[in-house]
Parts: sequence; structure tokens; C-alpha cells
Amino acid sequence: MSIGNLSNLFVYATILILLLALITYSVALGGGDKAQKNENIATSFTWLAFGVLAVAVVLRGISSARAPWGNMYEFAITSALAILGSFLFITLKKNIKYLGVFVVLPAVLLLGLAVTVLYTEAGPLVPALRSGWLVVHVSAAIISYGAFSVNFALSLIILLRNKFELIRIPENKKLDELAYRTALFAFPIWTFSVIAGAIWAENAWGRYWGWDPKETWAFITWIIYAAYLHARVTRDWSGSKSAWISVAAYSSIVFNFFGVNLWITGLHSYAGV
Amino acid sequence: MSENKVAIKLGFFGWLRWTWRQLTSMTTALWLLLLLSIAAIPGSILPQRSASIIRVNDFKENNPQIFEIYDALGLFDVYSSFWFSAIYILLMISLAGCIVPRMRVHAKNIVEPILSPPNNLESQTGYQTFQSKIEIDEIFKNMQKNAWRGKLTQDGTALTIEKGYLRESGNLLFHIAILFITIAVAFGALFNYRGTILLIEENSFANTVTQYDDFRSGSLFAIENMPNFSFKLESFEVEFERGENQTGSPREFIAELTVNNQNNTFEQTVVVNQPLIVNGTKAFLTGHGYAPQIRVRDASGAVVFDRAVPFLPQDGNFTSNGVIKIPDTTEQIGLLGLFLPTGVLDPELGPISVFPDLDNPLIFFSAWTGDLGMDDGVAQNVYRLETDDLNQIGLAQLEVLDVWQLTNGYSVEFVEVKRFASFQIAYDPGRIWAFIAATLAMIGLIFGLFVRRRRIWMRVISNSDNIQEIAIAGFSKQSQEQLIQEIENLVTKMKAGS
Repeated sequence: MSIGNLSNLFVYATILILLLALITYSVALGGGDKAQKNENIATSFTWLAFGVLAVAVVLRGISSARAPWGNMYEFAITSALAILGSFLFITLKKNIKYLGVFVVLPAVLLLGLAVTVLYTEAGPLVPALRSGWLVVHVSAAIISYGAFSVNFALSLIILLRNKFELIRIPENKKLDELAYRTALFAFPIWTFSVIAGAIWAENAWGRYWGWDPKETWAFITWIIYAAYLHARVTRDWSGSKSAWISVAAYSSIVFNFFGVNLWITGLHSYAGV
Repeated sequence: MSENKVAIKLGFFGWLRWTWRQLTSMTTALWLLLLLSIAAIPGSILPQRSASIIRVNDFKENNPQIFEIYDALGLFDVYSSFWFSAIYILLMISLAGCIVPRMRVHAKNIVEPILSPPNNLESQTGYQTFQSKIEIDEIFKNMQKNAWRGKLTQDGTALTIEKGYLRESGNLLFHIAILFITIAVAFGALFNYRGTILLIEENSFANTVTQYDDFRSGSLFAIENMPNFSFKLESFEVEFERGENQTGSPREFIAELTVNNQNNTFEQTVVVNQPLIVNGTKAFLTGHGYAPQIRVRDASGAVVFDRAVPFLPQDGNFTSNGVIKIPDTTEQIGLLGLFLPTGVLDPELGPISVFPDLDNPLIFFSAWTGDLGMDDGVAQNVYRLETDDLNQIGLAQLEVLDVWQLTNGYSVEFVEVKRFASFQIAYDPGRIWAFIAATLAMIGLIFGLFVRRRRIWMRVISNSDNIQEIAIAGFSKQSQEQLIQEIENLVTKMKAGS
């Protein structure tokens, strides 16, 4: 079996483990005596999935002899890793296991799409991507996406609570504070990623900013998160209004990944999706 | 008094002040930010003139009626449209109006004397009391060594210390830098120039406006200031993936150039991500294609056309279209060509290319005679042949070295295939400033978001036998947890007597 196939096997294993985590988290969310215990079990599953997926990403890198984010498939599996990583990192400091469903579900969906729609065999990079900036620009984007995903999950809960009764989840004020802090972490990294992208664009295409669709949506994401950070400190805008802004910002990230890559043609379209 | 009367009393300057206050309020800035994000969307969905005029024209051809409306709204030039500009200019004014007063306040905070502690320390964050062997003025000196700024009351019983001014400094730096990025972009747009060229192997380019296929410059750029340099494309190598995985994907583009800059000649290899840099102008390799060399002879055998003609690629396998116009003959001849680097005749799709490299180069020609319209003085697209008023006189499939005899005595020979490379040539004096401003914005952002501004108070409650009972508490608008932790650490240190 080739290293690339081994990597695929690990991705499938990750999906299976995450489905187990998802079920256990869902059961825990329902409450009951064993809720705490189930949450802990689910989090252990998530740790396992994180480890297995990390191996998958590394193997993918080894099999193609480069940083494993040269196409949409690789970007998707690494982003899923970042989403799980951000969540698990915070669980080490704060009890946010209640968030499990809302983090694991997007990660599973992303991996599912990766293996079905986006899959590409491991191979060398197209010349346009052969640059040291690939590692800097894309890894920063992936890390910030991971943290923004947690921010999104928290904002979603704040909004869902207006409609549903959510037991076992802390009060909105705490969620809001935590969401704000994840955005505080992610925003500078996202800013850095955009600047690094501009430097790379200057080097590859002769202009640092050209309103290519991908750039435009990166700009939109940046602007909406900037609005979110301001909304949090503006009277009458914190709470569900800023949660809506956070959801809008995350939607722009999702659109930038799927909409722009698959639907709109631009300079960021590369071979092998 | 009714509200109406208040409004009337405001007067002209009152209204101005009211408008200014509204514009610089955070709520307005928020709306402007959200509006800017929405306004940017159409430019990512509709083709933009700044990116590709060809795609704008395609849109026009396919939707002529909607095009007029969209165009009137500036939807094909979104980022230079009046409404997009209006939003960001208002945002920048709002930003300036917000930071100027804040700069004043910040400057005042830095120089202003620090206030004595409030009376009720008990109600402040992290309140506790502890016993300390060291005197409070000694504590103050230690704190000053650790970059705390502070004041001891005159009687020496109460202390206020502050830290984290860099938060607001960073905040201001970030916002000023954002303003400067906008200015740098505008400055660059006024003085820049950029253009594209298409260069066939063994041909040369000299940096003058007439040699560009497409040239744009800022309104303040003086064309006579264009740096004088030239380069020749000695060779252009391309390699495509031949394995089963990602077959046909590009693997290597290498352009070998000989560059001449002010009588200084040197060789340079240009690949994607590694531009040629001459006098601040950069030349980037952005694309490539094929240019078949075609030789046409008239009935007497004299050569009337002999040139490599660039064919524009239409798909990933470089199925390419090209046109050859031969005007200087008794009968004008136009050739409409389809070039296939690896040609096959598909029973359903007709002639297509199945691989981007030159495995089986084929040209399919149709020949036309009549008035090509080249003498009307109207500028023509060299890649297009209007065949409506022309007569077709033949069709042929040619391999390299094939000669095709036309019915009117002319012959067309497919001599060889050359490659062409496209270069984007760009000069932008604003980019270095944009880079500096972006770096400052990044630094400002980190300080502005992560430095905590906090104030800690201490007051001596009782003093006996060299042991002082001290009350301590603090205040911060940022994380309360971290402030409490910090006070805890300070107390532990002071108890230990260090």
C-alpha cells in the first residue's frame, strides 16, 4: 500500500471515530445523569480522531513530498484538523465540551466532502503554487479558520438559544466572552494571512491586490470580523446582534472555500480542484 | 420644548456638528463596515474590467440588455465605482474622526498625573489584604523597575500603579496604518503602470507603450519616464504531468531571457513566482501557448506571409484559436485556424486536443477570400475574422511540414511550432509604502488586542513593628481573571519580601 493510500485510510478512520464522538456528544447534550461522563468519552474520541487525522495529514505531506495543502482536498483535511485542534486546545483550559456537537459536525461534513467531492491523488504542485509563501500564507489561513469555527459554533448556540431551551450550556454572557476571545486570537492571524497572500501575489502576479474573487472574499471576511470585534464593544450591539455578524463572517469563509473555488473562476483556480 | 424647536435651534453649524458626530460614531462605522463587505460582493461574481476585459465583453454579448443597466451602475468596475468609493471614503473619514480625539486623550493620559486610589478599595476587582515587611515606597520602586507607572500619595500611605498604555498606542497605530494603506494604494494607482505582452520564442520586447498588448497607467504617470530596457525570450520550456495522476497538469515553466538594461546585458531565468526585476519594474511569467509558423506563397511561388502566429488557448489541453490575415495581395485571404498540440479526431466532439504538449500537432484551417475590412481604418481584433461577407474557398487538416494548395493558386505551409510566453509587466511605487503600512498595522493590531491596560491600587491600613497591613485591588476593562491572577502573584511576591 502506498503512503498516499495509507493517508486516505486514516482519513476514513477519522470520519468513523468522529461519528462516534458526534453520537456521544448528542446523547450528552440531552442531559441526564451520565451527561458528564458521555461528554468526557466523546472528547476522548475527538482526541483520538485528532491524532489519527494528524497522521493522515503528515502522511499526505510525505507522499507528495511537500506541505500538504496544494489543492482543495488537502486544504479541507488540514482545515478539519485545525477545527478539531482549536476546540480541543480550549477544552484543556476551559470546559467547553458542551460545544462538541457544533464543532465535530462541521469537521465531519468537511471530511465527508473532502473524500467524496474534492478528492485528488497526491502529486507534485503546479508551478503557480511552488513558493515558500504557500506554507506561510495557507497555514495562517488554516489556523485562523480553525479558531473562527469555534467562534461560529459559540455564536450559533447563542442564536439557537433564542428558539430552543439548551440545558447544560452556560449562560450567553460566558459564551459571548469566549467567542470574543477566539475571534481575538484568530483575527490577527487572518490579517497576517491576507498580508502574506498579498506579498505572494505581488511576487507571482505583479500586483499585491487585484480583487481576484478569492482576495475579494478574504477582504469581505476580514471586514465582517472587524465589524464583529467592534460590535462587541458597542452599546446595543453585543449579544445576538454580534452573534449574527459572526455567523455572516463565517459564511463568507465557507463561501470563499466552496463557492469561489468551485463556482467562480479566478487566479486561485488550480488543477485538481 | 418640543423636539422641532431644538432642531431649528441647532442652526447650520449645529447641523454640521451633529452630522460629524453621527459620522464618527461607532454605530455608523459598524454600518459602513458591513455595507463595504456587501458592496464588495458583486465584483467577485460579475466579470471586472480591471481583471479581464475579454470576460466583460463576453458578458455583454450574452446579455446585451442587462449589460447596459449593470454597466450604468458601475457593476463591471465595482472597486472604482462611485458608490464603492463613497463607502470607503466615508469609512476613512469616520475612522480619522474617531482616532484624532482618541490620540489627544491618549497623549493626555500618558502625561497627566495619576490619581490617588479610591476610598472603597473593597468594591474593586481582586480586593484582598496582606502583610508585608517591605515599606510601600520600596514596593513602588520595585514596581517601577518592572515598567509600571505610578504615584505614591504625599503621606506615603497609598499607591496607584498603571501599565498597558501600549494597548491604546497599538490600537491607534493599527487604525492610522489602515488609513496609510489606503493612501499608499491610491498613490500607487496614480503613478503605476502595468501591461501584458505576448512574446514568441526568439523574439524581443522593448519597454515602450506601443509594444504592449494591453497597457494601463495611473493618471499621473509620465510615459516618458518609462525605464528603458528590453529582453529577448531565448527559449521557453514547458513540462506537463505525463503520469496517470493529474495528467496534463503543468509541472514546469522556464523562460530563459537575455536582458538589456542601459547597455548592460545579462541572462536571466524567469519562472512563475520568480519575476525579472529591472529598475523597479517587474516582469512576471503569467501564461503561455503555441505560435505555429505559417508560410503563404502566391501563385507565382513568392512568399507573401511567413510568421509565427500566436494562437490563443481555449482549454487546459491548449486547443487554440488563431487567425491569419493576408491583405497585401490581389485577393485578400483570411485563414481561420484551430491548433491542437496533441490532436485527435473525436467521432463526437470533432477535432480536439487531448494533451497540452506537442505530441501530435495539427492545424485545422478554413480559408476565406473577400474584403477583410483591413483597409477601412477601423481597429481590428487580430484574433478575430468576421466571415459574414467572405467566401470560403477550402478546408484542410495540416501536420507540420504539410503544404496545402488553395484553389486560387496560393499555398499554405505549416512550417513548425514555436511557443509563446505571456508576461505581466508592472511598476507600482505605492507597494513598498503599502507593505510598510501593513506591517505597522499588524504590529499595532497585536499590541491593541493583547496588551491589557490595568491599574492596581495599594493602601497601608495599619503599620506596626515593621509589618504593614496593605489592602490591594485593581481595575481593568479587559480580562478580570487575568487581573485577579496578576494581583495574586504580586501579593505572593510581596509576602515573600522580594
